[in-house]
Amino acid sequence: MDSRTEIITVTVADGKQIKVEVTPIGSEEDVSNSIQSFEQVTGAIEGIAKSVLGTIERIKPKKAVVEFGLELATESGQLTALLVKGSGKANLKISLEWS
Amino acid sequence: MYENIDQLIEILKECTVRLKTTNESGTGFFIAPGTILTCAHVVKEAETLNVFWKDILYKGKVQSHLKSPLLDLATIGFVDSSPQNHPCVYTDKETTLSDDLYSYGYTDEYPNGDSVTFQFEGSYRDEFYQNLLKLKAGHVRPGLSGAPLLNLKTKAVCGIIKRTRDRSSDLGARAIPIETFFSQWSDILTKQKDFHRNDSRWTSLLTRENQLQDELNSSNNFNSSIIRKMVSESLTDRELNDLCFDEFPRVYDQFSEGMAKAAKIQILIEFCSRQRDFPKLINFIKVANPNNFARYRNSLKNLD
Repeated sequence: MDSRTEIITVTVADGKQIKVEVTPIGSEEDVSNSIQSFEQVTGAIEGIAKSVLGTIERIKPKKAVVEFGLELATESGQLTALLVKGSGKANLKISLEWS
Repeated sequence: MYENIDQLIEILKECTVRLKTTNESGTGFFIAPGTILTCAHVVKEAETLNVFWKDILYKGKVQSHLKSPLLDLATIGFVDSSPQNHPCVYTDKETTLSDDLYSYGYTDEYPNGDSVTFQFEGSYRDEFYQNLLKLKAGHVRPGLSGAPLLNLKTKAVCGIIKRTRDRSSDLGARAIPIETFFSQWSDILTKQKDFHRNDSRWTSLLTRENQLQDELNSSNNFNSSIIRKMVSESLTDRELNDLCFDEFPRVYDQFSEGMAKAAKIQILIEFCSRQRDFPKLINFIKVANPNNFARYRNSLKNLD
């Protein structure tokens, strides 16, 4: 993955603006200067969690622990979330217990 | 190499404005008196926006908006007061390989204005983006969308910056050709020409070559017998066929087997006269046979 990063302005839920470090993916993009909404990232977190939960509910373990790491990126000028490797080798780590 | 270029760049900067909506900012420029041109993706769905010209805030109103992947252009007027005594860009679609280009706009890193230079690398056309100018060796940051692209050779604006090829390096950019705009808003070209007839800030810096070309492009009073002679002497029968097939298909459709070259030229001349297409024909002769063009150039127009 491209190691270059950019600092961009993002609007969070209460309307405040924060600076966020992101990794640009791809290259060509329209070049207006946009203030991005953080909802694009929170939506991705919700989507990933719901997908994993669906599988866990079908196999019914007694306990489940899910870890995933996200990195923020911009693609064609839009803020997006990248599923990336965490502290271990996996980018999505799931532990299930039945006993 | 480029005479008067510093003065020209100062006027170009004066033609630019910084645009700001709730969530977007970018660049625009005066294409005609009281009318700003920018990219539609800079204004998005906004109906009004802030326009900063020489650090003074004006209220802008989006006049027309063509946000399709094909065009991505918008024009902006003013609500209440509008800037006084602003210059307007001078436009010319001509761009040839390796032309040196210059742009100026308001970027995220330099919101008070920044310059960038490029070289023209060629045109790109597909169904989605229609026709875009490909530019190399220039670093384009967010905020430069809608900035004017000045051709330093012709001393005229030939395009509008739309995309960066990489925001982190000097890979270049893509721009919308100025003729794409005028194909939709030809009335604004007339207003721009009228402006430059009364305001010489830009035109006084043009070379004699630019002025002659401009006179040819804007004239409606051509000497058809001289043009007929020039075409006849400049092109072979085969070259004439190729020109008409490529550029004047409605003329080519009237050619028949064994038709004499003189008869074909007559059809072409009559067509150009009806369609006011003499400038297009003359420009092709200028490229195909520059010596012949130079010989006839001073007599192509009738005396007004």
